[in-house]
Amino acid sequence: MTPMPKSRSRCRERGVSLLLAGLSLTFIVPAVGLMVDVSVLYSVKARFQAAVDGASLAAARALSLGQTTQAQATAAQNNAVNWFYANFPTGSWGTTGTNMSQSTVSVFDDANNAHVRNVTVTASTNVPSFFMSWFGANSTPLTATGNASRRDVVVMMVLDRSGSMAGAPCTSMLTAAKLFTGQFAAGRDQIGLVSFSDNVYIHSSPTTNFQTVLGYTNNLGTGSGAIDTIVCNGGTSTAQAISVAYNELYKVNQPGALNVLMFETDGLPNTLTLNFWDSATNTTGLKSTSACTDKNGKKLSQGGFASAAVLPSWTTGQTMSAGSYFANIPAGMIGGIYSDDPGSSGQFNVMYKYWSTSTANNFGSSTFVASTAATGCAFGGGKTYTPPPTDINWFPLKDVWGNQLSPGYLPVTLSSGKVTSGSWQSFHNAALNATDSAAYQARTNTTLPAYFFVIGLGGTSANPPDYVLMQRIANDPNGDNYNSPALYSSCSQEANCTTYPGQPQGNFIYSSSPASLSQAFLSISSEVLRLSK
Amino acid sequence: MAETRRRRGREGQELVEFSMTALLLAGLFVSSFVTGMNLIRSIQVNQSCRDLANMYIHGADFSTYPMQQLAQRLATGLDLEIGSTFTGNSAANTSNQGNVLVTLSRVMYVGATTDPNCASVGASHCTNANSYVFTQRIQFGNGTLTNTKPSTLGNPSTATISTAGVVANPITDAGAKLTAAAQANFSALWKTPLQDGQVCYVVEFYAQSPDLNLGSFLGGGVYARSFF
Repeated sequence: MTPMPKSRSRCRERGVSLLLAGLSLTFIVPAVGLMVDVSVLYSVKARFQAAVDGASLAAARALSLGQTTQAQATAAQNNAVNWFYANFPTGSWGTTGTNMSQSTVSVFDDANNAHVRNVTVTASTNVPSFFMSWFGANSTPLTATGNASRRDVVVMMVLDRSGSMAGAPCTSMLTAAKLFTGQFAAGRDQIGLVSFSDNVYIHSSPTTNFQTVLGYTNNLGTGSGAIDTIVCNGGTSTAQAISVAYNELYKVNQPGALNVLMFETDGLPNTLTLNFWDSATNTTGLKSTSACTDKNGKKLSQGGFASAAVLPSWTTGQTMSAGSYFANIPAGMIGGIYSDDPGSSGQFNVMYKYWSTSTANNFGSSTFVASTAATGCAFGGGKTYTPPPTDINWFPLKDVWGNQLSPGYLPVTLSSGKVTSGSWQSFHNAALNATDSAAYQARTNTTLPAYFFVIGLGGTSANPPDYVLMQRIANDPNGDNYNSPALYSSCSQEANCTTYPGQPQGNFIYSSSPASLSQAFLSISSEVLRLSK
Repeated sequence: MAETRRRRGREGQELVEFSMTALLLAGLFVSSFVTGMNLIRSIQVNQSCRDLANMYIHGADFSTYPMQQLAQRLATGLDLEIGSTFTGNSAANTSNQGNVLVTLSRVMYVGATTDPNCASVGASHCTNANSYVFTQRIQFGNGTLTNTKPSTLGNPSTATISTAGVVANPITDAGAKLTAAAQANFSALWKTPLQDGQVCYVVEFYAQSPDLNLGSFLGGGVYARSFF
């Protein structure tokens, strides 16, 4: 074999690097192309999944829209389509054949919880290949599924119909309450109503038929709905109202649902329901100088009131219905103590014959203080006293609902283990403490923990709601997010304000005037529905 | 003699070939790297945006420092700066450096004057009837990035807003309305018109990419928007 001349050999080496580079590119370019296509695929997948997630959550939120469960399901399907295409418009990233419509959205009851509805959204599309299409892979199919659920809501509205609400504020409250009920899913959610002044009236236990029962569809004032019948007059028995309302939630007993107390007030608690008989020691809270007499006509100073058997039965007690959170409240020496608000004359009004046996809820001031005095007692007939009251020596540490007067949010003066009746300030603080305690008990009940959403209304009296107390009731750690400038700080910055991260956290909204009350109610409904997902 | 001349003529040929190849490959690798990194960044931005939206709709309050810190952790590597700690609320925490701006908006549709929202203020006072309005706006990160990538929804700059970003009077305050252009764009999003009171939670997440800037080719940063 004749060796090739060097010059020709060298000539043949020309361009070898380029040739090798060119050959290597046939491997490098597809590899880079694959990388780019896969990266694009992942990007689209992230976007696509986000769109499906958004659609499923929006669908769950829309389960509140509509008067029937079928209408609510349709609203959910429409919402899902809306939100999906808002996030992932047709043709995004060059995708083709995107399939997402009402028919790919399913709404169904949860198999393990009858009070939960689920929404499943499924979507599919084809992601184009930019480089891999050279090898026949024009697109990659992509499917995404999103799930969301909505808990049914059980709400007890607790509305203040005290005297300071009378007139325009009362009308604003009723309008707002109607609007509030309109935001929930009829047929699935349940709403009930309690109103309170000196006493508490249960207008309706939670019902799925709330829009009719409470009167959402009526013109205000037609009188055919429970809300329409409220008349504002009297004191502010807040602690009792919360306890009674919570009991209504408890009786419904749907721990799988979202249980909410929606509480509105324009003032400070000033009325407590107390039992002046201490069954532990068989002693009465009457003063030794009291002229009240027992069943045998004996005064305390005459050896009367020696046992429960001879108590005068100022009230008939309260029999709780089956499934109640509270035990029956026995007949005994039960009465209400109403005290003036701060800045007034600092007087007490002692009431007896306390329970409402009437179906009317618009008690006038003469109704709750009996027109005839309890036998021998100085109180009754609308009499007021500068502390201490003529007959009452002490107040118990708890009201009849078990709400704690002391210790609590504010200091209370004690004497021999009882709350002294000699101080208006002490009673005032005790009323606030009992309210705080009522909410605390409802939030911490292990069977049925309740969320509190609270609206404080200003502009109706010289004694608007106590911001800190409202924050504590709602267990809301945030400051004022609704008024500008903010009227109160976050709980951690307020004296005596405590919230508990482990308990249901609700919201407190302060409406500075009746004109903004409806907006506050709608904001609360929005927050409740946000939580119901 | 002739061989020497030929050899001299070929001197540097390999170098030229290598240079040409290297140029080609280097360009390919650099652009692949930059594209890849931007795609990774795009995925992270999209994921962060989605996660923030998910938390936002479930009640997370991003006007507080702890929640902004959480967003910062989600955006690790993107350089989201939120400044020193603060108590309470700061709905406009935008005096920071960094490469990220996060904008959260809650937008509500106010229906006709006969619908509940207008009824709640009285039909004659319902300034924002038949409009989309801001009910909350929160921004944090580097506020100067609004010049590069302004919010597609506009800003409720004339509305009365609390420190938590909540618009005080979304039904009656004309400043709460989305701009006319944003109204049109927002309406166009929906296949079925929204009803009175329906709310949309929008998170916009913009991360500029100064370290992965290939001029006009890939220099704009990454923007993601989620409607929840």
